Amino acid sequence: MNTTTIEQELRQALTEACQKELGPIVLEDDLVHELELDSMASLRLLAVVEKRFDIRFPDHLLGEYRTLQKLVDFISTAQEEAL
Amino acid sequence: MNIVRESQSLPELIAGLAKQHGERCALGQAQNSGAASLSYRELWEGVQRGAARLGDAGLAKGDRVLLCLDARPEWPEALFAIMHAGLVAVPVVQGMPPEMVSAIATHAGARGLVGGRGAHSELSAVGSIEFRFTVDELLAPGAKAQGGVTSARDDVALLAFTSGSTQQPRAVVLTHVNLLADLAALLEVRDAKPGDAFLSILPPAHLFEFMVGQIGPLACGAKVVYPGTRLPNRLVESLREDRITHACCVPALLHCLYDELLDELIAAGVIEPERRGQSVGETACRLSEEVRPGVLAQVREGVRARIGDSLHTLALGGAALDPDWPPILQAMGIRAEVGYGLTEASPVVSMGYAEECPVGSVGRPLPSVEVRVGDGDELLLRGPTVTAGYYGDTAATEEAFAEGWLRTGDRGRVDADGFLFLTGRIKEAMVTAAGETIYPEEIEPCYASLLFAEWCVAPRMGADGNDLPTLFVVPAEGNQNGAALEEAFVSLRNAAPPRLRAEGVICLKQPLPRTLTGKVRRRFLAEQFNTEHRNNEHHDD
Repeated sequence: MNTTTIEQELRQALTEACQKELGPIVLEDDLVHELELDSMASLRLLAVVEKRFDIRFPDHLLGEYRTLQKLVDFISTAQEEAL
Repeated sequence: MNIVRESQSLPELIAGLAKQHGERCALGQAQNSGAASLSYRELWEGVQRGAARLGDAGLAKGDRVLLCLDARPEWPEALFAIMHAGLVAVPVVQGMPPEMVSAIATHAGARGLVGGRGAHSELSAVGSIEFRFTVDELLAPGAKAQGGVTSARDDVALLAFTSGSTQQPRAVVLTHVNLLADLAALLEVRDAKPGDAFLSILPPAHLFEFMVGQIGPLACGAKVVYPGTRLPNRLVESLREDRITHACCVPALLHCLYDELLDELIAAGVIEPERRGQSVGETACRLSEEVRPGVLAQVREGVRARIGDSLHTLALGGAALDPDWPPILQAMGIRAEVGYGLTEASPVVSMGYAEECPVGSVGRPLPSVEVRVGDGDELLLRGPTVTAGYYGDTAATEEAFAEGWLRTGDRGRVDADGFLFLTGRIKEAMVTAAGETIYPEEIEPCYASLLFAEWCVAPRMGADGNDLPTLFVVPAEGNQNGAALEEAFVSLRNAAPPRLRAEGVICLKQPLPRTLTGKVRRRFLAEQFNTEHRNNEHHDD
C-alpha cells in the first residue's frame, strides 16, 4: 500500500472514529488539538488505527503519534517490515 | 479468608499465601508481552530480598519510602518489600506532574525511593531522600533472605495521597489493620477463587485498584495480570488471550466493549447502522424492551467470540453512578460490580453485584463498616477500615472527624434493606440566588434527552457571586444543531419542577471530563468554564 492510499484510508478511518470531517486537516496538524480529543478519545483513535491497519504502536511512544504524517510513516514502515 | 483475619500485617499475609499457593501464578503480564510471571513463592522470596536490601542500606523502621513505578508484577513485590522492612510505603501514581511528585516526597519526608530505570530528576531537589533503588536492584536475585521486621497491626503500612482539583494533596495514614480489615470484609461479599485472573488496568497506586484489583485477588489465590498497555483494543485482546475473569473497569475499556456490542446489535438488525452514535442510555433501553431472547443470545455469542468467554465480572467504581452500564454489560454476559469507597476508608465502603442491588444503589456497606447519615445527609463512617487521620496535618484531621465518625463529604441515604445510595458531593452543592441549596444529582435526571450523548449540571458564577445551575451537554451524533438542542433544553426545563430548573445550557465539543474511574468532574468543568468566561470578559474590556 503506498503512502497516498494509506493517507486516504487513514482519513476515512479517523472520520468514522471521530464522527467529524477531517477535510481541512493537513499532514502536519496536531490531531489531538484539531479534533479536540481528550486522553481517552486519543487512545480510542489509536485503537481504531491499529485494528484497521493490523499494526501495533510501541506502548511507550503512544503520545508521539499525533499527526497524520507520523501515522502514515509508522503504518508504511510497519507494512514494509511485515512483507 | 482466615489467613487474612489472622495476619498481623500485609507481608505476613503474603508469607501465608506463599505457603498456601506455592507455585500457583500470582502476578504476570499479558501474554503478548513475553514477560515472565511470578508464583506466590517467588513473590514472597522477592519481598524478603527487597526488605533485606532496604534494611541493609540503613533505612529504619517507620521511614517513608516513595514507590514510583509503572504497572507491572514488580510493583506489589516492591511495595510489600518496603512494608516487610518495617517502612512506610508512599505509592505515587505514574504520570503525575513532577511538581506534585516532588510535593508528595517533601510532605512525606521520604528517606528512600524505589523507582524504574528513569532518573526521577524531579526528586533530585528533595533533600530528605538519601537512598535510591531501581526496582531491578532492589529485587535482583542474590541477597540473603532475612526475616524482615515484624510489624504490629497498628503500624503504619502506607501513606495514600489524595488530591482534588484545587487543594494540595493530603496524605491519608493507613495501618496494616485498616487495610486487612477492608480486605477481610471485601472477601465476604465477592466471589473469586484460585484460577481466576484479574486484569489490572488502573494505576496500581490507585488505592481502589490496590485493594480490589491486586491484594483482593491475591488473597483468593487468583492471578493478577498487568496488560502493559493503555490501548483499549489491546485490553480487549488481553481479556481474550489471558482468559481474564475479572477487572476494575476504566471508561476506555467500557466504551470499547460497548463498541463490540454495537457491532453485534447492528449485525443482528437490532440497531440501524445510522443509529450507531445514539446514547448508551438509549441502547440500554432498547435492550430491555425490544430484543427477543434468541436474538440476545446470538448477540452475546458474537461479542464473546471477540472478547473471549472467561470474563464474568467488571467492577465499575465511580462509573457505577450511571445506571445505564449494568444492563449493557449484562447483555454481554458480564456481571457489573458496583461500589463506593474513599481513600480514608482503605478504600472500599460498599460493594455489590448490580443485579442484586436496586437501580442506582452502590451496594450494601461492607460487614465491618458502620455507616450513618448525619447532618445535611452527609455519610459518616466508623470502623477498623477508617484512617486515624492525615499525616502531618492536625487541622485537616480534626476537620475530617465529628465525634469519632469520619465525614465523607458525600451525601447519601440507606434504604430499608440496607442498600446505600449516593445523592451528591457536599462540595458540589450550589447555592442559588434565592438562597436555596441544590445538588447536581437532583437536577440531572430532569434533562434526559435522545439529543444528548452525555450531560451534567455544574454551576456558572452569577453576577452576585451566587451559583447558576447550568446544564452542560455533549450532543449525540447527528444532533449538532444548536437551535434544536436549545429547543430540547427549553422543553425539558419547562417540564421540570421550578426548583430543579437549570439556568442555561452549554454545548461541549469534547466528552465530559471524568476521573480515572469514570466520575464526572463537575467542579473542574465549572472552574474551567468560569475561568474562561472571566478571561474573555477581561479580553473584551
